[in-house]
Amino acid sequence: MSLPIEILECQIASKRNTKIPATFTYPKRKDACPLIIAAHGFQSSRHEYGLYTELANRLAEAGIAVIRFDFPGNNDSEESMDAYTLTNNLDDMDCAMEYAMEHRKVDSRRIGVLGWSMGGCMASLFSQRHPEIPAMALWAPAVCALDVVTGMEGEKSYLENFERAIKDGHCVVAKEWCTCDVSKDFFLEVLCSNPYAALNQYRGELFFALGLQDSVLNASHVQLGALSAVNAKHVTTCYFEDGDHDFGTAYGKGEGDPEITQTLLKGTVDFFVSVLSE
Amino acid sequence: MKFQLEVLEIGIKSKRNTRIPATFTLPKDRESFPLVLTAHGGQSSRREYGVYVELSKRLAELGIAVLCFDFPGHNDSEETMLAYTLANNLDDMEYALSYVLENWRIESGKIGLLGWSMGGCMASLFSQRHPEIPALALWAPAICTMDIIQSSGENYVKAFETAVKGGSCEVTKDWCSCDLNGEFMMEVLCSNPYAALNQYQGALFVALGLKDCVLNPSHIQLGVLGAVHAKDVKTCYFEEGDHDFGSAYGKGAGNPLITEKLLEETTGFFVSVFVE
Repeated sequence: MSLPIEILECQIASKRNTKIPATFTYPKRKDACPLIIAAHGFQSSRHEYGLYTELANRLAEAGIAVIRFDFPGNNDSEESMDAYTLTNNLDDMDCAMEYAMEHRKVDSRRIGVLGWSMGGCMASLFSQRHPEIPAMALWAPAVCALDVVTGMEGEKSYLENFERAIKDGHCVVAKEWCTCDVSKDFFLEVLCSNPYAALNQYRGELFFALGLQDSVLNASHVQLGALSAVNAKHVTTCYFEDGDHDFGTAYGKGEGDPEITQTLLKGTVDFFVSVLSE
Repeated sequence: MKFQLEVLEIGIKSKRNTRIPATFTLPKDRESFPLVLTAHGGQSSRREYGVYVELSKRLAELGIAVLCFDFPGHNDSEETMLAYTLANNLDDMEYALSYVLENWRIESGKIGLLGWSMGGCMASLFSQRHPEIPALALWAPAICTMDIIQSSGENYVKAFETAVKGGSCEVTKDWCSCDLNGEFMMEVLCSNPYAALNQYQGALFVALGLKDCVLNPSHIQLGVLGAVHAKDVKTCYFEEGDHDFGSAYGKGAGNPLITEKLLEETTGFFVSVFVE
């Protein structure tokens, strides 16, 4: 049965007293519903090329609320990329969760987390902060911290960029698809974090999607993440032999491969429904 | 002043009630002295192709004692490679240190660490357990855990899966063949020596051959740059140096100039922290 849904565009107060742009999609139902907190990727948005929008609608129709928001320095955020740090990102995930729970009746025992790419790193680390979370879905998660650091390459090598950030407080990373500031705190926090350890400690249900032709992250390094989750209640993998980091979306810029996108959406919705619906 | 030295071959009881083979090199007729605890690399020994032996001699002559021991499954160890885990290695470092502290007089607070390759990973992690340690010397340290995982071969994902699910996997390299414990692989993946170095507040010495063909030198350099809380960071980079630091792992002529420079610089580092 498909429930009617409501979509609320909102501003959430961050711990830094800034406003976090967010979209809260929820089912029209009187009883407490499950909630998903969605974390987007590096230099992306809470809409994730329409994919998070579509997923949120489908989940809400299935009775599950979704809160998604822009990380600092991304999309509609009022902050600069200097504020894009793991600490701030995790704080914003906390604030988004609290906001959703204050504004709608949410069953605190049925909270899930979703992350794509760098959002997958954030979701993994968030699960370490909240080990009670029973459902986590990761799409091509940046669980290898080294790949995040070495991925910060553009006109200059990652080592040069890292060194500049340490000395000057930040550096400019120029890529084909974006040019942005990356802060010293972000670099150091990533280098010193370990999402693999977070996954290893995770005890809930895990959904793990990956395109084996991923051209942004090393697919083998990502697979190690799924293998490290030996304490998870269950691990569902959804690997696409010919899939890339975009999961068929072409990042909203071309035809892509709708079949991959649809399989990913269906698999993720089914996962959350099976774990979080009563 | 040059001290005469004494070399003791000893056995230290481990936390697992096994015997840890060790060599303790100390300055003779000195009531108390600083101590350097060393950690050797994977598939090596407490002697490190003679380089640790020579370093121990030089440091002891300058009044600094050195304890070298074999990790489980290595050299004279009575255990198999299945006991080679980060937890056991750290325990052995702990027990080796306690042994010296209980039986000799170590100058207050003057304890240093040295690690080469995988021993550099161990020394970094040990410094996290003992943030009070004022001197840490690392030679081509395996601080990038992904590099350690990938060193199990081209099909490292399969090797990891086999080890984690089956308890162990056999790794065959040009220079050795050994069983790697699944627990070891998982501990490595879930550890972070970069974080340990970032937290370290003492004096740090890092030596690296920029032509290292075992570990990625750029990944090691990241760790050096990340050590932003260290009191002082001294780097000793060899433009033409490899992972062996000129030792050729005891199997050829090598490059004695590199080895000599490494020994000199490392000795100078510990002396500057402990003696000067």
